[in-house]
Amino acid sequence: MAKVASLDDLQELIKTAEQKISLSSNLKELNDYKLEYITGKKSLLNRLTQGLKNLTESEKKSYGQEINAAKETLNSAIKGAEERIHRNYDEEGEWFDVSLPVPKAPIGHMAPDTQVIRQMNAFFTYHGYSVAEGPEIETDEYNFEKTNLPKDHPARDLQDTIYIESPEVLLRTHTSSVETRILSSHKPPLRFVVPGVSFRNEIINQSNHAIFYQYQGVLVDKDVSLANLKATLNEFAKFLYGDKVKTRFRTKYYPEVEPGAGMDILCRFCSGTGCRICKDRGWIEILGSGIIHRNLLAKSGIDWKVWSGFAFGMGLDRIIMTKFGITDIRDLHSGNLVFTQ
Amino acid sequence: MRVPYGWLKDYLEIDKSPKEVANILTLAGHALDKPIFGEEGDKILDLEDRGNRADIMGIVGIARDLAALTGKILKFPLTAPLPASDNNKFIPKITISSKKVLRWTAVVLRNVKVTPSPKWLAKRLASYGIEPLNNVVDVTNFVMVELGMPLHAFDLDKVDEINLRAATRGESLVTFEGTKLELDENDLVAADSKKPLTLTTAIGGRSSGIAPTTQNILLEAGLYDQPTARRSALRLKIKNETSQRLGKYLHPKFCEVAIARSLELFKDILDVSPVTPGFDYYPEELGPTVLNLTFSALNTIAGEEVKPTEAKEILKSLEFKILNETPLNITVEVPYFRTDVVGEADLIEEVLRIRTYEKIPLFLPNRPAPKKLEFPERDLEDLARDTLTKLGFNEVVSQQIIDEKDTIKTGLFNENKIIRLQNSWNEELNIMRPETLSGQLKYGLSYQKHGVTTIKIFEVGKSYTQTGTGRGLEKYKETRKIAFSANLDFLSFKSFVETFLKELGNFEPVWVKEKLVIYKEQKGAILKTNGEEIGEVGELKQALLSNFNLEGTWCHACFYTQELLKQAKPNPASGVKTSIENLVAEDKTFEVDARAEAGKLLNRLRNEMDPSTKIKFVGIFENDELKKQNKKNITFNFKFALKKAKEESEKLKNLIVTA
Ligand SMILES: [Zn+2]
Repeated sequence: MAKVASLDDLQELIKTAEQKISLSSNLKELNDYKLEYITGKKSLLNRLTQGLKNLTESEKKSYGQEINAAKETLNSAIKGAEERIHRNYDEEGEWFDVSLPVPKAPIGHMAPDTQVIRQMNAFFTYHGYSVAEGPEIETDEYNFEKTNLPKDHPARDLQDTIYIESPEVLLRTHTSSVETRILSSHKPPLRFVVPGVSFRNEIINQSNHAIFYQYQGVLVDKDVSLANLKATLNEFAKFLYGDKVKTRFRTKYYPEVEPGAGMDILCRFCSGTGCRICKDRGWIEILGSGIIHRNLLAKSGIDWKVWSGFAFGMGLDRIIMTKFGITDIRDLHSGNLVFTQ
Repeated sequence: MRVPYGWLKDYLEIDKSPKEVANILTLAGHALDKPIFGEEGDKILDLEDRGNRADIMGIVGIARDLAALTGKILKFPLTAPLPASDNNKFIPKITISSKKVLRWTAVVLRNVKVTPSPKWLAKRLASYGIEPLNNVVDVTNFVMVELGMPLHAFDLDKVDEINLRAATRGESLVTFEGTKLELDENDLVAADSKKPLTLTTAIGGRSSGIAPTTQNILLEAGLYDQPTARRSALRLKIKNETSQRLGKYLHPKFCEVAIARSLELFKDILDVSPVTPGFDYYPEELGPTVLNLTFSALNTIAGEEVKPTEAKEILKSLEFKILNETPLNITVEVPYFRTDVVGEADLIEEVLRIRTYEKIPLFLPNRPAPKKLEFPERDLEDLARDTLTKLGFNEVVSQQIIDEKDTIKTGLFNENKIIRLQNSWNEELNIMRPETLSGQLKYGLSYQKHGVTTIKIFEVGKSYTQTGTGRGLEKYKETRKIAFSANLDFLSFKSFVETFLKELGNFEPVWVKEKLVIYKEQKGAILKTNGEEIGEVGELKQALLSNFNLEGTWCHACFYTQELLKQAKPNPASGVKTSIENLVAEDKTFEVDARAEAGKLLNRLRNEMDPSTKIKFVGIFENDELKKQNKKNITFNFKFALKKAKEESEKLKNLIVTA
């Protein structure tokens, strides 16, 4: 026979019982609590009531009141729990197959182009560049004359132009037209990148398209050096391809720059020994760059004796294709590309 | 440019493998274009041909760079002296009737014996990829590949005179390869008294060429206006060794150097010498280019100090002559063959290139970043991308150049507004897209084919139209758009449109029903904010959908970035609340005309009530009795702020709406 608990102990016991009842998750469990605390032969309430026998009359009275209150509390807790369990009968419910396959909830994706462009923009905005843009229908002036490609320049042959109104109105053949537009309308110092589409009248195949995307960068300031350019591009290559990337900086001709430079990364297919993919060079070209040609600055109204700059440009399509495992450039924008869940 | 390794060795000492040589040349601006090929001992380096250097179209040009890069001496090939020229006494008679001839140098060799070439010569040509023909033609080809300057040999006995003139329209020429070329006044020919003998900028003719029976030859080297040469070749679709070289900016001095080199070979191989006099037309002799190189400019571009002695040694190794020097700068004479070097920056590149760019140090730009350039349209479009992807739309990018048939399928074709391309890589793809719908629906079809059930796509792009007024670029308009489509019914789609607009710029537009070409008559609307049109939304016509093989119901929305930008309001709170507001709610039903628009009524209620009162549409109720009276009930839920609840409730009670 248990000793009669003190008043404090009694309240503690009731609180514990009330909490257990309120957390019971099914009717069977609740029934067990009912037996344990209220209705069972050896239930808490019964034991407490039996304990009354040994008490003085005055003690009996105050204790009896406490026990009655406890009984009420527990009964109402049981009732509440019963209602709750009936409402949420599924907590116990029927057999359920949690492994049942379901369609994935749909989410939206940015186009591969946007994803790659945003990634690059993140790097360059961190380094103080603005993201710029310009028209796609262009004039000969901004596309050619100001980019140091005057009429009859041999390099114009390399850029088979698509004309709307020959020879003055055309589709820009490179994003350098945005470079000349911004240099012509803003005062240095300037830093900006231009992600955008360009057009050339070229035979298209698996790896070349007449409509292609470029990413161009321009910095104009005082005393700009090839060392600045090389360091910037090295950091960019690390950002794109990881810290371990090996880069190479070499002379390359572009009419918009002088001196001109190309940047290669070590071929990851042969690690530099030379293979078909890198044309036996051991290296893969990722971008073209250089110190902005004095003629280009002059034609854009910038005094090259005070200001100098560098520019770089790269094709985006190949990077996008590699990242997303697309093997045919014609699939990029023809309506074939689908995000499935 | 193909460079046979064995041939290259004729001009300098090389102690490196073909691969090492290719690597050195690549770093210095002559990138290997294809894998090294050819037999062991006869390897060919195929170098990229994209620069502005004419001299490297000859193996000697490459050898000169390699010599400078590896510290060796260039062995320039032997030459024989030219006979003194006397143009008036030269036989046959030569007339130059075109200003496009920059120089024309010729000699006559008599009593030649046309035979196969000696083995070494045939082998050299074969290694380059030119088939040996006979000793005369082979010598001209050899010198062309060696120095980069094309030459031509006529059978003198088949030529009575030579006139260098523009062709006339209707004239034609059968090339030595047997192709018939239809010429016009833009082509430059060497003709006799009757007909063109050669397209002198690109290819020789059959009638006057060297044959086994040839005994006397006229050997000439001519230079012409380069753009003319390039255009002729392009138009007549000729791409050969001659046209490629004459399209570059070769210096006129190459004429005499190439003839002098050929005479040495003719003497050596055929044992013949030229008769006197020779012919030399050179109306405007080009003087040497003299340039200044400031060491400080060199150091600035290099990003470190380049020693003046090093710079001078490099330039000298490339045959630049130092005319004058001070501690601050040098004055140099550019060698004739480097027509690409025209400014100080070119000299700087020469120095840094031979030093190699590998030596350039790494310094990130360290000046403060300049002010940001503002492109608010772009920012808004980026926010649109974020919002639409959050709403489960997938972004697509479609082509700017399309087939007009696609626009016709949408019903939006308007000939007067179409921008047609004058030339395109594909006959069918010949207009700039005047709409972005067709491109989007093509993606829609791909999604449908992939079995995606709920298709939601968007594109941020431009449409291109012409306005018909203005000049040049003014005539053409690029309109920025944010457009999206989904296979949903009007009201489901509208939810997305409303959320999109709310997020984008706190827009609460007025939906005005409007008959538009692409939408069902009752389900098309123009959206207005402050009376300005910001875009359109609607359920696409069944006929249009079937033109694109799309099934089910589709909606489309198209917004104009420029207009959105003008009307956008800041959206600072963006729906975030710190606690549940104490609001008193009340429903009220209005009996209105059967065709009353719930959206309009809502707007009116919003105007009537205090801004603190939130009003929501609950539903529409119709029954037979109401229908008989041509009426319907519309219920709204009103939530009043605690402080204003009494006053607002009173106002609502007294509100009379007649619609
Ligand atoms: Zn490789």
